Amino acid sequence: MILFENVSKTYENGVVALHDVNLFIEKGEFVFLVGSSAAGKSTLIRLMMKEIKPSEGNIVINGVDVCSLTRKEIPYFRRTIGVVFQDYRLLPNKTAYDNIAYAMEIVGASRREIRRQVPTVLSMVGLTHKAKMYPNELSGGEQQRISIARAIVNNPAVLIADEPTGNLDPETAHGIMELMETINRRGTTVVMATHAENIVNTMQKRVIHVEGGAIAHDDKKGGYSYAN
Amino acid sequence: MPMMTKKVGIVMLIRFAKRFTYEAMGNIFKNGLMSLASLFIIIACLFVLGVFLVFTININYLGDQMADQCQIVAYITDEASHGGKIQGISDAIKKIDGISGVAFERGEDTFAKFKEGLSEEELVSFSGLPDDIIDDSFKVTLHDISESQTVAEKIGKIEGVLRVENRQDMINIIYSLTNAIRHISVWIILIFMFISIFIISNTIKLALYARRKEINIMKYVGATDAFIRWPFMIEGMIVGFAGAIAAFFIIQSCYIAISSSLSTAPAVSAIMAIRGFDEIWHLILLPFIGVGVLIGAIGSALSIRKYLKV
Ligand SMILES: Nc1ncnc2c1ncn2[C@@H]1O[C@H](COP(=O)(O)OP(=O)(O)O)[C@@H](O)[C@H]1O
Ligand SMILES: [Mg+2]
Repeated sequence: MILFENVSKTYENGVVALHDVNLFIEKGEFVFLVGSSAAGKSTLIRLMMKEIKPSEGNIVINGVDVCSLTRKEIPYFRRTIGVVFQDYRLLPNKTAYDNIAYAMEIVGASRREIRRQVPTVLSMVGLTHKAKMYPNELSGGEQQRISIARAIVNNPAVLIADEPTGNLDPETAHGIMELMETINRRGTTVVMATHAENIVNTMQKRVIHVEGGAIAHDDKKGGYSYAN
Repeated sequence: MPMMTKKVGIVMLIRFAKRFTYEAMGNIFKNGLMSLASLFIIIACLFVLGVFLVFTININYLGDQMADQCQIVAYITDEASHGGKIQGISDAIKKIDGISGVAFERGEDTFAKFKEGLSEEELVSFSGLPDDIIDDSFKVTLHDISESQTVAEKIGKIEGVLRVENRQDMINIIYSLTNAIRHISVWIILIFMFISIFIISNTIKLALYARRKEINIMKYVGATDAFIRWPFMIEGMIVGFAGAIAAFFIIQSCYIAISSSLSTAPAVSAIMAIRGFDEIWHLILLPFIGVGVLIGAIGSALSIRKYLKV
């Protein structure tokens, strides 16, 4: 469950990225955040993962008042959400397997749990045979699959993704979207920022249009083209 | 927000400790150049520290030796020694503050000891002298050689004491010299620790700059600061330990080479004895390991602090 109440964000340089945003996303929903460049999509995502603080308003995620989190509590909060980025952000000197295992190690999982869970998510993203490869030995699509596997390995309630297909060709992107849908079907809430029209139009999911730092439209079963 | 922080049990602590050490070992080799640079800095700093340590140890030793030789000697009159006043004088000396030991010595014994140190030819010139040529005396040692002046004056006032021998000038020189060197050494050691921590944390900081993205990713995935910091600190501690061992062997070989060349120089061996390395090795190795590990740990912790603030 994600709740934004009158959220505004003004960056230190004075840019108003978001102005008075209200937003409610139900548990188990699949939501696209769409809008042109500089509309404020990434700012929304970064607020959800507590990378930045809102200038005004309240944000509640999975029942946690994100604004009141102390520095010490932030890591524990981050473990309850999975995050995926456009540039994958895998640890370069760890293998695909170890990148996923790392997310389990930080929560103190046992070797046995790790050895059971990592292969499970690896097979889910279809990369069991690439477990021992390093990120620079994998294609973009494969790296993104590993980063998705890492994001879901601890079974987070929410998966948020900022332009996860931004660096990928349409065919690879399509595969990533199928994976996101599978994850959503298992009960995970998925929030994905994108400006890829074709993806949004074919998926027929809820679409939130962000324009100029505000929510322009919120279509329960929408398409991208509406906003333009 | 009680649900957010989680108690860490002992099983998890052991699990983390294993993981951190494993991670640290891997990183030492993956960042070989940085580890090597830190290693050399630690060795260089410990070497300087070691030179001062060795110097201080030997100055202290020399001071002790000389202080022992510089005990106060109180000669007593013949009337006193033959008139049964020895015990009374001894008691009177013991009553003075700051005395650590009083030993009576017959003049005959003093003379005999003196002759023991002489060669056959030298002995000739002393033959024919009576055995009791030297007065009976008390050898007085002090807790603190700086008080010898006042103690000597007090002993001189005791009934039956003929004269007091007190090498005050010598005592003063040794006292102030050893004290000064002790103080300087402590400061130099402290300053060098700070310098090395500074250099090392900057070396690591440079290397960490390349790894800041990595640290960022760890934070996104939900790693705590401690979880990120520990492998770095263990990395620093292992390098510090290795540096300590290396610096120890360097100091050892230098020390043995210098002390053996000193002991063959008669001019030096006549006035002072250098301590054998087998007597003092632990006085060097233990501080080295302590300081090396500390420098490594603090250096790493300081350098990573900046990158954790994201
Ligand atoms: N760290 C930042 N500091 C200052 N301004 C920023 C920062 N990040 C984003 N902005 C500005 O905020 C606005 C919204 O950016 P963003 O949320 O990244 O948009 P989107 O992801 O929709 O392209 C833009 O005008 C952008 O220039
Ligand atoms: Mg963006």
